[in-house]
Amino acid sequence: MGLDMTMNRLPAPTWNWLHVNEASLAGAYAPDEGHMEAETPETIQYHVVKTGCIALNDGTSVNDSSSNVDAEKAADAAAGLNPASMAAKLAQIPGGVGSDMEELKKQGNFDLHLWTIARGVKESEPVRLHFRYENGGAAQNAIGVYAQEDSEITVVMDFRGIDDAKSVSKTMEGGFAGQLTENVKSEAGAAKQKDGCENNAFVQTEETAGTDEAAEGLAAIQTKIFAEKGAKVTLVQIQNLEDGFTFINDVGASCAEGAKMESIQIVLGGGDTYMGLRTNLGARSAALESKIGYLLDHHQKLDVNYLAYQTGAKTTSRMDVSGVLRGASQKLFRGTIDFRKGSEGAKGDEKEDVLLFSDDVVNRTVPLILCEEEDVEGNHGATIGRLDESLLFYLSSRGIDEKEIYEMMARARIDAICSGISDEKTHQMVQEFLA
Amino acid sequence: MSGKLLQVKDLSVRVEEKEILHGINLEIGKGETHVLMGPNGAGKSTLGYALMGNPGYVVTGGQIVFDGKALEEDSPAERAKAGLFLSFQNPLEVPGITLSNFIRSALEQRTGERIRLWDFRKELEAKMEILQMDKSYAKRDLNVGFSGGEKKKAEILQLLMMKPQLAILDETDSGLDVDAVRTVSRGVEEYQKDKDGSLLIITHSTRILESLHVDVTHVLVNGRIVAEGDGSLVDEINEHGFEKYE
Repeated sequence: MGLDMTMNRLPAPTWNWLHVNEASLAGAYAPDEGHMEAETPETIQYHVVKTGCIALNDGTSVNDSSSNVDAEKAADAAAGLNPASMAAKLAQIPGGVGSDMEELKKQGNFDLHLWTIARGVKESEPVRLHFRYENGGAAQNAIGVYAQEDSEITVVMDFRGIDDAKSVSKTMEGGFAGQLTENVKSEAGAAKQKDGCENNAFVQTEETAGTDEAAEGLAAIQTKIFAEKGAKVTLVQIQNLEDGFTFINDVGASCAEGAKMESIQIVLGGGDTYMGLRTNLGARSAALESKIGYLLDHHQKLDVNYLAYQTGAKTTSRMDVSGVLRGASQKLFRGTIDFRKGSEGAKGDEKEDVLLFSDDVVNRTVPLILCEEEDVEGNHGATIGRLDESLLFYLSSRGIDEKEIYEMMARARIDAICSGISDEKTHQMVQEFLA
Repeated sequence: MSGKLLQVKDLSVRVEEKEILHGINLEIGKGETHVLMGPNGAGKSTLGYALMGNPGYVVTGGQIVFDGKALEEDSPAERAKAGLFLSFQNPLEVPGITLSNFIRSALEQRTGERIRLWDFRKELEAKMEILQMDKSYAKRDLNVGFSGGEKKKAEILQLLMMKPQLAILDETDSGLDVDAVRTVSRGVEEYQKDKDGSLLIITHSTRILESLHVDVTHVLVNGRIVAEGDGSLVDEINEHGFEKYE
């Protein structure tokens, strides 16, 4: 049975008629576990924690049916750091999408796929997670990342349709995000969004399965992250689904003293994409650095809710959002920096750069800086519009047509976001998507 | 058809509501080097922008004929493809596009053909060596964080790679130290040698001209060409200034 979801709520609501307080998705139903292939470096441990075991933390009910934890790591388990206890800790961390994501998870028995890295280990090779979704599928996954003290781990996720060739042909058609077929469901959803921030989730699968229409479905993922003292977690997510897909991407993270969370999220595909990222910076000098890059076209829609809760002293947060809107695409970015009591000396920055290619796009931004402390610094800056005339002239004076200049500048925005990714394979993957 | 590569006939140009150039006449032949001198605000850069087709510089009268074809209706990109090049006085920074990728894209756009990466890199590195540019600049975002000198070198690098028929150098030597001017001059020499290219050099000083043979010097004052002569006019102006023309 479908779930009527309310997602990406603003922590401090504004006028309802602005339609930015939250996003709605009617009849969401994702009973299956999404297909995932994982590549895990040797220094990183992988566990599958069964749904029923997550609430337990005494180690007696651990049911990590597929664990590569070795004997030397048993000390950690004895100290209470076993997969179940880690999973329990992760379960306490709220995500940015909101509580309805937990309700969606109840539609099936979803194991938590947990990656942990031991104290002091710094692994440069990322964990690679490849998610593939079938046309007509309705699937979700639950992922956990637990970084122990002074460790470093990178997790790279990519989301695509199972028919890779179709995905490639889609991106080849008409530039960075041309679509072979307009999707009726997306158009209907976009129309409703204007009317009341409401959309239809994927409910029927039979009608389009097995046809030549662009693939569609519902894909959802929840990622929970805990970074212990001095640890660093980098999360890279690249979404290149076909435009019939609704994609829900929920991330919740918590950073201990001196820990750092970095996220890079790139949206190149999907019909309607809902992303929420909530980070608790609850201890001194904890840090968040987050980047979003997107290229939207036709009736694609991106709805984002970023939240940085800064309760620790001298914590820092940074949100960089950069993208391009074409066709009749829509983007709504909510960026909240919440300086709570105890966050003295904290800093937070939001920066947005949006390039508009069409008069029919809808671009909305809700920067929110909340303050309970006096000695804090919060900034927001936005550059929104078309290309600067002098820049356009400079580039065209080299023989580059205006259309190509816009394409170059669109790709440049994604490249700039990708410059924060140190992994070459991931760079190549993004370039292939953009080619 | 005239043998001249560029013919500017009675050209008048307006910027916003103000007419800056009043009836300019100018002819440049293939392989010739012309120098355009004049006091600040005379309209030298305006002429460069108008020739290149900057939409902010409106041609209110006259004609620009390049290689036998009237250019007034052409976009900057079309003029570039026809063989015109403008080296900017203040090159713009373009985050996200590397110098190397930009030049390669521009070349592919101009020719409509894919360029083999290996051949391109080899040529790019050779040209960078002439300009004493560190190879790492090729991978850096176009002009982002470049010093004034490196920006000017990047302009000349584009000139060498694109091999236009006519290059307009808008105060390419301004703000450069003696060594940098010498390096840039070497690049300009290389351009002429390589392609038998024509040059219109807009300048205040004579340093960039030291190693070049100047065919014609034009003096532009208050939007009008008030004097013309050979290379010796450059020395005369250098000695006595523009006072007698104002």
